Formats: sequence, structure tokens, C-alpha cells
Amino acid sequence: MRVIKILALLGFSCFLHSASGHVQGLKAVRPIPGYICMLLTPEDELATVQSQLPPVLAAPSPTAQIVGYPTGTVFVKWPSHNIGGYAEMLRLNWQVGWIDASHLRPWHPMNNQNGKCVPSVMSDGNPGFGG
Amino acid sequence: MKPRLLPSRPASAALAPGSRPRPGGIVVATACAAALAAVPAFGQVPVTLNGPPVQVRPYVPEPGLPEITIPQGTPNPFPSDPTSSGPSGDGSGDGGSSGGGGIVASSDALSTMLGTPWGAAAVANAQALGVNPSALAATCVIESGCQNLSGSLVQGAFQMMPATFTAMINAAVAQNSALASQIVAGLAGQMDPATQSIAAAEYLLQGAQYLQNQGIANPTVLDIRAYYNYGPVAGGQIAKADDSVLMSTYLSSAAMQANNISSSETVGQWRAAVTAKIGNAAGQTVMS
Repeated sequence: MRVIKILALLGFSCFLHSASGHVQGLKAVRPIPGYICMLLTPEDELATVQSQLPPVLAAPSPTAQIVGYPTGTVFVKWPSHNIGGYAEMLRLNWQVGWIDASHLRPWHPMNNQNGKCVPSVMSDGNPGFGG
Repeated sequence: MKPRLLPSRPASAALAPGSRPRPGGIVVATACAAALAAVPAFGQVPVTLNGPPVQVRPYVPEPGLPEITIPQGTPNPFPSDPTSSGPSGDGSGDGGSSGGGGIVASSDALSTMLGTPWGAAAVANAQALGVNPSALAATCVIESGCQNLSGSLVQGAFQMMPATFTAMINAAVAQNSALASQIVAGLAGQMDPATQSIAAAEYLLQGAQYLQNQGIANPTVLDIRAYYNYGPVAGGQIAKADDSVLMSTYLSSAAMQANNISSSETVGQWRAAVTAKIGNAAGQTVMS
């Protein structure tokens, strides 16, 4: 009987939660060790569509498969792991990728003042940007 | 970056019916009944019709049933929350269904867009590209109040730059050649809202695919908002950022100023402001 009551309360709370559904933001839960933030070049930052960005490759080779495109900030393996001019990076879906290292530069906030970038595990379980 | 002037209009926000009764025992049923008594019952709120009903697009035509056509510009009489009144909503709500399979998920933004002469065409264009019409409607609501604005580099109801507009029109036609017959050719199409809706829907689609590649399985209108406004470089970061991070971490001073974002505004505050403007479409998915 107690189990049924608990289940009923659980179902009731679930019902209320879904009835009052809301858009939740993201929270950084903990840092991701072994990675640092780096920025794309100023030329890359002018991109208005993803195809204008340097591709993320499946392997450190210009002929490797394109697996996606980066955001303006890239989580780069640290200490750095470069092969043939490509830097190992962590994609925001947890996959490892490689990006042309010539498109990377040290990270700074866009306002050139306050702010920091911490590669983080977010509240949705995926990598994201903590500050 | 795509610096923008955003004459945003607030849209009413509402809770959406997002739950379904689940099978269970008597106790669970009683608890749900109590919940129905405690929570405003969406289905029990009277709706006053002020126009014809939303056009149904059935998967299989019913034999003997005549085809019914709703004129363009007909207001949507079924906002997802009839209790919503004006622009003071909190923006909560998951917006109901995502509009999959050609079903139009209702929202206050969609009502606004359907109130324009080109709204019905924009809905059809969004569906032709696999984009939730409410996501497209939320874009025009926040960009221009669904008004066909001119006078700056970014123009039209969806406030697109000419280069982006042209690229997206070409991409949309490549994806669905049937759209070619709907397009006002050249940059003149920039000031034809129905034509621009094709480009905007394509941009939303590409943005959703980009965010999926960044680990967001089913991007929402709120997720994609920064992509549409600032492009992939900043848009991807803002979609994946902690609520407490400053917007100025990802946007240049010029972009901040052009979009009336203060230097102390956080990502969480920006998300809340966007949600307040587009209302119950914020939680709906971009792709249908």
C-alpha cells in the first residue's frame, strides 16, 4: 500500500511538473579536465553560416571525414596534441575531433575585459561553457 | 556576427497543455483527478471563436468530404492557452506538440503571423522545409513584430542580411525545388515576406542541424535564437552556456550595443527576455 502511495505521489508530482512545463537554462556542473578554451580567428568569427567555419575532422588529415563545425570557442586538448598541423579537440557532443591549428588562438572574452571560459559538464550532461 | 537592430514586440505567453493522463491504479487516477481539480483545466476554459478554425491537413483524405480552403490572413482562433491575455506572460510552457508530420503546433506567435496577409504562405513554406511553423512565427515576432521593415542592411519581416537571404533561398530551392514557384526572384524577394519566410525557414533548419551537431538533440526556438541573431560562432556558444555567464563573453561591444544588451546582462537574463518576447513558442522544437 505504501508503495502505491509513493507511486501516486510521484505520478502526481510528474503531472504537475509537466502541466507547468518551463524552459530551463543550463548550469555548469563540473569542469572537464584536460581541455582548455581557444578562439577561432577573427576571420572565422565573421561566418554567418556554418560552412564558412573551419571543419572539424574525424582524423588529423585534410582528407578525413568532416564530422561538424565548431562554435567560436573550441575545447582543445591540453597539454596540446597536434598531429600534422591539426589539434585534437573535444566536440560538444563528447566526440573527439581534429581542427586545423592555424585557425586557433588564445581565448579571451569578446569584451576584452571580464569573463573566463571553463570547459564544463553541463546540467544536461553534455559539454558546455562555464564561466 | 550579424549586428541587428531588433524592434522586438512582446508576445503573450502561456502555459501549454503538456501532460497526458497515464494508466495506473485507482489511487493514481484519484491523484490525477485531484491534480485536475488543483490545476486550471485547460479544456474547461471557454473559447470565443472570432474566425474560422485552423485548417486541418489530414494524412488521408476522408471520402466524400469536400476540400476546405482558409483564406490567407485568417486569424488563428485557437491560441494554445485561451487564458493568456496580452504580453505579460512568463513565457513558460512547452508549447505542446512540435508540429511533426505537417501538424501545425499552435502558439501565440503563430497567431500573430497568421494575422498577416502572407502568414498562411509562410506556414506552408516552413512545412515544406520541415520547420515548425511556430518557430518561424516566433522569429518574425521577435525580429519585426511580423512587420515588413525596410531602411537598413537587414530588412523584411525576418530581418535578414542580403547575402544570407540569397544563400538561404538558393539552399531552400536546392532542398525542395517546388519552392521555386513561390519565390519573388532576386533581392526584391527580400521585401516579399512570403519569399523571405523561405530563406528564414532554411536558416532555422540549418541552425537546428548545426546545434544538433553540437549535442543538442532537438533544438528549441530558444536554443536557436542566438544562432539566428548572431550567427553560428556566438550562437553555438550561447546555446551551450551557463546561465550565469555574461553575454559580453561571446558578443562584441558593437553587437551588444546594436541589440540593446547591457554589459551586465547574463545568458540567463537574455534567455528570460527572449522567452518573454516570443511566449509559448520558446520551448517548441525548431524542426517538425
